[in-house]
Amino acid sequence: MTRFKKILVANRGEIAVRIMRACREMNIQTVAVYSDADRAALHTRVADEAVHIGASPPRESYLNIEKIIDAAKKTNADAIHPGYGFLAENADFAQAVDDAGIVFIGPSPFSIRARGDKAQARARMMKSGVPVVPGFQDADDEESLARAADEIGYPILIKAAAGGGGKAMRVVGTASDFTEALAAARREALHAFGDARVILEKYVANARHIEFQILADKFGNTVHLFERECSIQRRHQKIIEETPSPLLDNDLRERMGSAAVAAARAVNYENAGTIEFIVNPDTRDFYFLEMNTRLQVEHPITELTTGLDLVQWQLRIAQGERYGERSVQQRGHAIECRIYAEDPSNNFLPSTGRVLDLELPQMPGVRADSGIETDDEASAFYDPLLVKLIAYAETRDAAIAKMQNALREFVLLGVTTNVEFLQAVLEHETFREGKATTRFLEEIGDWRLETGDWRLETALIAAAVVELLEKKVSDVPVSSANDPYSPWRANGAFRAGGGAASGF
Amino acid sequence: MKFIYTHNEQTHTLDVEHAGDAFEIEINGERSHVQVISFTPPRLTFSHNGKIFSARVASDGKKSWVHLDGTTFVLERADARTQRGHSHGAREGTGSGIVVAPMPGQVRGVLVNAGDAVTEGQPLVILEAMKMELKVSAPHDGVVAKILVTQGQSVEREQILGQVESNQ
Repeated sequence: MTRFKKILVANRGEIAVRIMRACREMNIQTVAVYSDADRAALHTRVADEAVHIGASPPRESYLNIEKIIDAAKKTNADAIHPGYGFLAENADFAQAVDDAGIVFIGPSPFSIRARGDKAQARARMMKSGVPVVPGFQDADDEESLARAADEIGYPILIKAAAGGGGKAMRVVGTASDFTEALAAARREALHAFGDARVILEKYVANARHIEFQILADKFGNTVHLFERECSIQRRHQKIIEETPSPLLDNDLRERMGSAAVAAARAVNYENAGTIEFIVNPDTRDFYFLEMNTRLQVEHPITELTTGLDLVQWQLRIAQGERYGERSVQQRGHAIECRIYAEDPSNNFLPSTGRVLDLELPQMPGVRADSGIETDDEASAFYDPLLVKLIAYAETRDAAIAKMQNALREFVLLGVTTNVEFLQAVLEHETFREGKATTRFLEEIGDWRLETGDWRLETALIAAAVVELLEKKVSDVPVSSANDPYSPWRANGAFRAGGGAASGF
Repeated sequence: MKFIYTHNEQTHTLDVEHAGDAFEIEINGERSHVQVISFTPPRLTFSHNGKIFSARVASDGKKSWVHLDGTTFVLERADARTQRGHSHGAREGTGSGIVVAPMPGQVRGVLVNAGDAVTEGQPLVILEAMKMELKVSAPHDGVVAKILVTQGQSVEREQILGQVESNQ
């Protein structure tokens, strides 16, 4: 068994920070890579070393295989963790890392090709008898795709073949919109994954999106670590996840878990992975959707309910450690809320800006995975995910209440986020009843919470008072600021601007 | 001294007078008394009509952000709002045909040239931010009078991208 001494994390944001922390706990050195825009980003500050790999657009930095491998060689890293997104599910990257004599923390290039490529994955699943959604993955020219779309019947979902994480996906309602949607999906796919190929799937409305966490070591031990309910999505981007799923009973959980393990075993899957299913809540039929050959954004809810550290297990498995015959129980209930830089009052479009103030909630049972600190920038170049809040409690109701409390105590000033929207979802009857499907957010309608007039009034007062206090500071001429007899110095117990010490 | 803020499209006017750390504030016609207890940016602790509050307040020059009792309020300052007023009016369709960026991001593609005839809803510019793509379309039929951005350029929200002139 090898022991890693130094790991390069080929990612940014909260996941890079989270991986580096796991490394530190295992006494492994870390190397960050960064683009121009991330020159001083949190992940570069957390790492032991940081290497600049190019300009801000992802294709010139975080998607540049050569530069990342060069950085690993230069720093003598013995392994690379890809995180999620970017190159995490790029088989060429895994192969190039391997060829460079560096350990890729994840499955083999073969598994990534077989499972990460949605077209191949569908074909393989069909062969091994796992139920799949009707779709098309046999050709990539527009004519074949358009014909297949007609045969499957609209609405159709166009997905990047190399994709994942909800990027480059388009729902097409009618044949007349197909050409344009295809072009847009291809552009997004090329930009996000460097691969413009797409597949088609019948769009199943009113379904539940439920996935199973897989862990597999090098010795054929393949287990599932239960499910994650991920139906709360907007534009195919998950927003709130929880485990256990309110829909599953033990029987269905058992059947889906077995299917997930069998699917992973069929390609000798190694390391952490996820099998996504869609479930018809009425018939309780489930279909294989895709396999993600990486760590998921929402992995913390599995960690809190199983007690395992998935990132540390990824490293241990990659080092050749045996997972063995552990028996893992699902305990309590965990919920994750994703805090995005997006503006609910501007059609949930991305928002950017500098973080003027960030306060993470601190209370028992709440975990915050953040990629930012005060003064950091939410850049238009990268994913809008800023912070993940995860709440854990004995029951679902208690976990919801804890999350509501955590969101109340979460402070992020300077960048518009979806926090108020998350609060509205947590209060919504459909969510409370555990009945939300993947259509829920599109149908939620008017969700704005009533904020009492007194709060707004008090907030207005606070804003004006602070503006006045700060104005006064900036009005002070430099000479009089140093003058002990200046009238500006005589203003009571508080110090405007906070810079002056009272013992001066 | 007057302070004017906009919150959710509603305008609020505050008249503030102060002596030291005591403030007399008239807001929407009602007077109240505020005493500042401490101010360590961004935290402001104050009493308002006898009750004590703690808020976190920060400003980027255009907006004041206030977190109070579990809620974040974004208050746009009046001066910043007047600057923005032009493009805002244009977007609502006053006929000027000015096309603005609905979000900050990079220009991924410019699909038309000045002088091109376009129809309402025809995509003019493709923007991308945070890996999301967005088409910005012609507000009405007409001719592209100008395009002010080029591919690869970064734009702010509400920045003018171009203009479409009506035919008549």
